[in-house]
Amino acid sequence: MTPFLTSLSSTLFIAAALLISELSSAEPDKNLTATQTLRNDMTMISRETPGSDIVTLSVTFMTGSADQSFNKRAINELAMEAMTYSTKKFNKSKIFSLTEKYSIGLACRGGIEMSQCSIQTVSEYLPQAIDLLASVVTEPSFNKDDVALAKQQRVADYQRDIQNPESHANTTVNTVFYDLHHPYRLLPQDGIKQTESLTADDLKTYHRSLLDASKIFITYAGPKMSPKIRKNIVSKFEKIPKLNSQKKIVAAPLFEPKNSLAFEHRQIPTAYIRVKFNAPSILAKDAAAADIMFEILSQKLQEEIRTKRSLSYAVYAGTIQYNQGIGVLSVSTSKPKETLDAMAAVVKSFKERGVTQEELNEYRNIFTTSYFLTLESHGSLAGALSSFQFYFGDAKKLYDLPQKISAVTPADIQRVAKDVLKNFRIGVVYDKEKFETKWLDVLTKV
Amino acid sequence: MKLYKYFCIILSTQLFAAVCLAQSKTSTTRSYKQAEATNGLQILTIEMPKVPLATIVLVAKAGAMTELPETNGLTHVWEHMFFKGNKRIPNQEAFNKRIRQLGITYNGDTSAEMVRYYFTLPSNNLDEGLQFMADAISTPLLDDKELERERVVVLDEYDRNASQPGFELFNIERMIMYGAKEHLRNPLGRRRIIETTNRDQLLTIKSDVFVPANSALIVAGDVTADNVKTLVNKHFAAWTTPPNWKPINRGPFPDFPQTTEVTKTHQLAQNVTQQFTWKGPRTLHEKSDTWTADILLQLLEHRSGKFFKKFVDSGLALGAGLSYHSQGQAGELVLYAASRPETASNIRKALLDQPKEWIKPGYFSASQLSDVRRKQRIGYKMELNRPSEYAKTLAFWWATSGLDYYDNYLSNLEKVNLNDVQKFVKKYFVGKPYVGITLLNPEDAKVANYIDNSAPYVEKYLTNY
Repeated sequence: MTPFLTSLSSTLFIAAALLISELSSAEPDKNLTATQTLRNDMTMISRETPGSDIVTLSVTFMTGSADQSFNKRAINELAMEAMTYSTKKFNKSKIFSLTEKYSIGLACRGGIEMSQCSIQTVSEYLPQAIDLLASVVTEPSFNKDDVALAKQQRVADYQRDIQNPESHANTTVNTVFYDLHHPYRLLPQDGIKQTESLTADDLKTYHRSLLDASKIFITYAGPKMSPKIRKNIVSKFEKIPKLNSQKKIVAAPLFEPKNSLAFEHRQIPTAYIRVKFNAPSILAKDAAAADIMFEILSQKLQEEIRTKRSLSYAVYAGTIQYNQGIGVLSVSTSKPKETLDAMAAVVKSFKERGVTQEELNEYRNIFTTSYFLTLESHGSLAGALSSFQFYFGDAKKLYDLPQKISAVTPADIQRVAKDVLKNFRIGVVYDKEKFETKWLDVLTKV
Repeated sequence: MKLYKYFCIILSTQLFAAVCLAQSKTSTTRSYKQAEATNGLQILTIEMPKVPLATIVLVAKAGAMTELPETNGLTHVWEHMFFKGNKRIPNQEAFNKRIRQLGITYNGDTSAEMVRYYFTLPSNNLDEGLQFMADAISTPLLDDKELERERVVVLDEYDRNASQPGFELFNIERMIMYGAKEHLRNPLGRRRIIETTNRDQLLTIKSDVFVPANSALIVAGDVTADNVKTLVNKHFAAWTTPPNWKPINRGPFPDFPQTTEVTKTHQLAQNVTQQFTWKGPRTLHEKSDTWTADILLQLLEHRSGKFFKKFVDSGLALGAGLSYHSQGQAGELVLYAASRPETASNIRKALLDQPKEWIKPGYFSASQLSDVRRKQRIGYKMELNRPSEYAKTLAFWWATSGLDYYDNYLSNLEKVNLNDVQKFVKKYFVGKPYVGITLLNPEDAKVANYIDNSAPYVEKYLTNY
């Protein structure tokens, strides 16, 4: 490091610490966010975004593929796809004409733990968009032709995952990360089979189970909501009955040392390697520390494998924070043995040495930028509020995130690293003539 | 659409945020303030204090279009070297550390007609961020050892592209269309050239294209134009354009070839992908036609329209449309569809018959045209909603088409009528040559009754590639 950098860094860290401190209160953002409980106990979150007439309105179903039986997990994504095709009030041609005329972005997407239908438009066309969204959510038609078309689209999506080597590496590791019945497991090939066997009646039955006010909430991000718009939204959604159905509890994927490696032969010039392991849940007390731990580990992997040793264009670590957390290491490389050795060395050293206060401060600087980027647009803001509402039951917890991050210490990070970076399950997609599975031993022994 | 990403190639320094979407356009109301720095660098400031962040984009009119056959792909290598040492920052490790100190999220990308570097950071670090950008662009060390290391990284990026089933076929398509000048549309370049890059070549690229007179700085977010200009003059003054510098012009492309169709099988292709490319208008040459091209493609996307109903809503194809990526030097109108093998042959015929349908009265309606115009206006509002992304969009238009084109875009779209669309279709599609490519797996080829005829093209174009 040059003296120039040394002298500057201390000042910057103070500046960043101050900014984090400002973020910690986050009162302005909190004050722009309000919640309302509808008569059926459904929650509506509204976030005012001054100076813009764009509106994002979403309806979140606290249900995903993980809540389905193991041979019907694909039903959630298929239902979401088909819901936007036609409804009792709006046939397909009316939906097309409305969305084109008012430039309404309408989409429903199924996820693993939650699913969502949303519209994005300008406030001038919000009344029409609310009508449409409510109808899509509460009374989709699921007629046979629509379902056939939706099935074709879903199958094509699964096939794209199979064709792409990077997403196929994810599928490959999933075959050993999840046992057959784990709720998070939905391989593309299984998705295709399941989708092809589903009928319109299956989707109608499934949709009825989705309409439970205790498992739905609404998120609005846009100009200050007028009483008329509020009344309109409330009247559309408070009719949904409250059933109080129970959410499934998901167990962490079990580690089976004898079944932790998966290889898929493809004659391609670079190997795609993906590692998965158990990590803290988004609800765990160590979630913030884990978040930082993965970010810093990712930087260390990049520094060693890309910057210093030029073994890869794309190497990273990350965490997927569901009710059960998932840790991920990923790399593409034409020198897999050297890369695996280097990855193992970085992980081992990270566990042993942990991080310095300086590294932690640097992460906080990056966090500040990422945090505000989330707040920058209506779509990402509404998405983040929905996610916090789903996992914590309180969307405003989003604004506590900076405080949680600032409370993490280097000792927390090392403790989490030691606890988490183990029991690796590994998937590889590459040319079998150029790869020996024994090269993976170095990672499995970390 | 999925196909689109293959021919609109943008390469990113970092894995994430490699975006290759149509860049949307704006209205007659300027959203930015324009100024010129003392060194000639254009400054565009977008004052939008939504959140306490600033985004800094440095863009240059460079890319594949400024390369020679023997330097094809090296502008992209240069883009990678930007993120390494410079006079103030000794090496990439120190560069990365500075990135973290300033709280910067960053990336860079190279396409045929533009190179962009972009940082987003807390706005109270704007001064330091601009200095950091100035050092990186004006005093890169281009150190031999760092080049050796980065070369391998770029080659892995190349191999990731080569791992996609369509890689060879899309290279063949480009070579057929652009002949001896195909390298001008290929920012990824050739492996063997990347393998032998040297420092002198990169220094030449720097003095040829990475100069203030060929670049612009776009700053967006929680900033003011006056402050930005002051800081730019403070930090970028030492970066100068060499005397007698002239922009690079590699001359016109060869004539578009006669109609050619290539079918290639690949074991990993999951569906049948077909696309037909006609020569299209360029924003620097056939401006008014580019506006009509944009109207046409959105009319075809209109979900109440005949095209969408025939190909997508009917289930005939898994996806279909017209793609047009506005560029200054070359235009490509790409009609594409993805399908199951059983319908591939019918889709091919139907796609090729389409242009004749488009010129029939009533194929497009006045209300559809009105919807398209409204969609453009709302799209612009959506774009402004995210200053960190909008700065990149503005950079794209500055580099490829110029600000006059961009500023007047919406008002010019308003002038396009359905008669113009018909004339456009006759001018660019009906009876004109095209280059068609089909990618599918060998089993699907049997079902579709397609024959792989790619061998002579592979031999001609990809031997020693």
